[in-house]
Amino acid sequence: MDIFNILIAGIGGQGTILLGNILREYGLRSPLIKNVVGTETRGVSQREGSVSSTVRYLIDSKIYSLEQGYEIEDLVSPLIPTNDAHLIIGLEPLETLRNLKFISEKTEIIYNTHKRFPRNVLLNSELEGEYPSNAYILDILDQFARRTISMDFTELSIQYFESSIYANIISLGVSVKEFQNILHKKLILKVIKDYFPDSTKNTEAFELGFDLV
Amino acid sequence: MERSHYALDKPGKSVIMLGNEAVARGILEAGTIIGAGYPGTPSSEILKTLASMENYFPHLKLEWSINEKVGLEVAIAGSMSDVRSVACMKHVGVNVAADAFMTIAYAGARGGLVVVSADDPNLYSSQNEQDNRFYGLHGLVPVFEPSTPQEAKDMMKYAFEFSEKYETVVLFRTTTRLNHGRGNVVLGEIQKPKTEHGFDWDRERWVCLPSHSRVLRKNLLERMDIISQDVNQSHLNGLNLSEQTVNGKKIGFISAGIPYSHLKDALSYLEIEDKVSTLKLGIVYPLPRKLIIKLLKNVDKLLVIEELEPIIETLVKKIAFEEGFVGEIEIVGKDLFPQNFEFPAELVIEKVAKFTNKEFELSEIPHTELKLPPRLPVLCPGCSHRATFYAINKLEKKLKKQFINSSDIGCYTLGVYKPLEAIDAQICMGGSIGMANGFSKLYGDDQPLLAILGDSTFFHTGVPGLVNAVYNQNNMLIVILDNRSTSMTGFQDNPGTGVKITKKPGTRVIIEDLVKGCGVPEENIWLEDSNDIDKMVEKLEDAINAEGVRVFISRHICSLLEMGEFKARNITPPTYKIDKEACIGCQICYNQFGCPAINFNEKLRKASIDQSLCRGCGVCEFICPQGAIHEETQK
Repeated sequence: MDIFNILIAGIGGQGTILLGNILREYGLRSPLIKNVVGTETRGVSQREGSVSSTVRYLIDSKIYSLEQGYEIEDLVSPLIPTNDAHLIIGLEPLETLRNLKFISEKTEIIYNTHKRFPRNVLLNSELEGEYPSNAYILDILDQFARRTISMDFTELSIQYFESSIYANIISLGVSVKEFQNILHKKLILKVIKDYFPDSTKNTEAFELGFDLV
Repeated sequence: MERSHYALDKPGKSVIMLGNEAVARGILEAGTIIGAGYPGTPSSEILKTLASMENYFPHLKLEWSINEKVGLEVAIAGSMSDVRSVACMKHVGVNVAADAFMTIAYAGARGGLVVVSADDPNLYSSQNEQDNRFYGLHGLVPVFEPSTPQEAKDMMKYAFEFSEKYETVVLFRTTTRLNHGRGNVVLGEIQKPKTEHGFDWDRERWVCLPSHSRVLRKNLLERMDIISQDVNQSHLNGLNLSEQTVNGKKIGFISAGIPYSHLKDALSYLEIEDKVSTLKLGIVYPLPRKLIIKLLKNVDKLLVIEELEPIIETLVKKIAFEEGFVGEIEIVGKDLFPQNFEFPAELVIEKVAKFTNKEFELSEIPHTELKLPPRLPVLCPGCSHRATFYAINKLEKKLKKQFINSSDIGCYTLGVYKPLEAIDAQICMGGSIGMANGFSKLYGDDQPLLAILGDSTFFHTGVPGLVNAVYNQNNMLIVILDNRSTSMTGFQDNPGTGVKITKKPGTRVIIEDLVKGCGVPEENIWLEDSNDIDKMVEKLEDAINAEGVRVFISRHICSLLEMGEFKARNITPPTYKIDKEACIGCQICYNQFGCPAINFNEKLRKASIDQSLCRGCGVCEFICPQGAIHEETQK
């Protein structure tokens, strides 16, 4: 079974669920992809805690249904195993580093360099740990991943749209450019158009990201 | 991508669904009429999704009940009246509903009756990670557990048939990873609900007093005997026997739910899918004894893969003992797997490899020498709870007394973290007032005792604690954080908003009237706007200094809802700015108030406000002793 694994990591409120939804809906509509599974963080972490979404494309498989008597063989876990991510969209440096175990030489990382310090770090809470520098993180990513594209997508979003909320869609644009064999621009744009009641800015943000690389 | 399309789409169509949406679709497809429950992560989206379908299927009778017990009782009445009924709740909610659950298990179901328990291994959003499969063993109720959204839908639809066939309650157990997983779901036919129904006056069944319940108890045991036989033929349980070996051994696996999906991944990863025997359980209680014996006969060693408690493992070992397999077969479960938290996918691969003596090497696991700080969730910018906590903390300092602040389950529990640290004890829903009842018996009037809880939690189980306090003269100050929403679980309405689950108007229950009706005298009731910080401090001091049972209602709409309202009305909320000249770097706004929109620059020794995060609540303007914070006139 051929599986393509995407991990989106970030902070509650950055739009990890939204990116996951768009990528899964794409998977459902794409003729290349036979089935999609995934999962997302909901609940208390959505209040600026660590969150992640997974998207797993089953490139060639049957849909599994109890009612229609299909075989169980194509059932897969919604979680991605260690070393097994093909694409990681890291919307925040610390949260990208937190998901290091999914990275291997097949992984490409779209990395937002815009730091958001956890409150517990800023307030010198007793909780241990230090916030590493971008240089330190990029060094590790370069060491283990196939390719990393790093940029301050948040700053870019503020610059173009006067709001930080489009950082996720810009990074999606970059991702699609990087994985054109699986993620087809035309269909992703159609999904974005259907997803938002008014998709003008999101389409622009996507195009901005797509043309960055 | 309107949610309601889940209701309208035709059978055969594929849709990507959240696990909970698939559960809801299954409930709809079964021709269910009654759905009730109380919101709680990870269960909340089930009834929410059903409510979005109500416009198209007016036969649906849905409600947010005030708590899980009432929710289950509503569903029980449906079942007694021969209509299919469901009660949805999170795992700890089943504890609240357990009184009803344990006895309706005796009387059983007439119309299909399904109780959804959404368990939370890993405590993503809960106070514990109890394993509610035990409720099946405890109440003698069959337990279903799906592995995928598709299965969740199909299994839910079938659960109602099963319930009616055997006249049993069905416990439909899910875990967070299923509830909040997403997958492809092929829609099925939506059955028409029964048009004829009505109560039957079978008092010997529905009046559970000792003389009746003794008979019902026997019926229950007989019913479970029959079900225990029939689960051996159920299509929900799948036994796959293999005659092949791995490293010279015939190996078997038993699993269910999400861990089964990890097992499937692991077997394909290790390329031993055809070489091992597997038993996939869709019904995790009672276990299919005959299938397990067949499996035991076919293998040299058996691994049971289940998260949390070793329930299947223990039951399988019992069967193995009774059938004389002891010493013949190695049966392993919790010796290999942890009993706490959710399993990461690679853990199952690693353990399966170990169990089968397969070579398994990950490429080097990327690591960092650094210890990474956690990112704890925080109260939102503009959250009215922060203002209330700040006022309470300020009074603590002023009165030079440390309060005992019992609190409760909700967003406001986050007030425990720095910088507020305003919560001292929290156990369960409604527990704030309950514990304060106890504290008041031990500490004199000099010790301020606060019970701090939200509006929805007050309705849920706070009210009995209040009546208890009034009756027993257990003096305390109850602070109700009324933000007009059940926010943590996704902004559900509650009696205080007077809006029903379907967004149609209901009757609003006014907290101050309810409190008065419980026997709190009018002079002991306060009602203030949480964000009016000066007045809050002044009135809270009055309340702390007053005697008897006192109730302080701190009211301000949830800032996330307020932002939504601004957006809907095309209003731009004001933003605030810190005058750099006037700021003396005292850090009160940063270190004591702690709004996430406020930052502090150590080098410049000045605070600043992040405009992209500020929601314009304006509270910081009043807490700055230098008057350095002002509304920005020009945005």
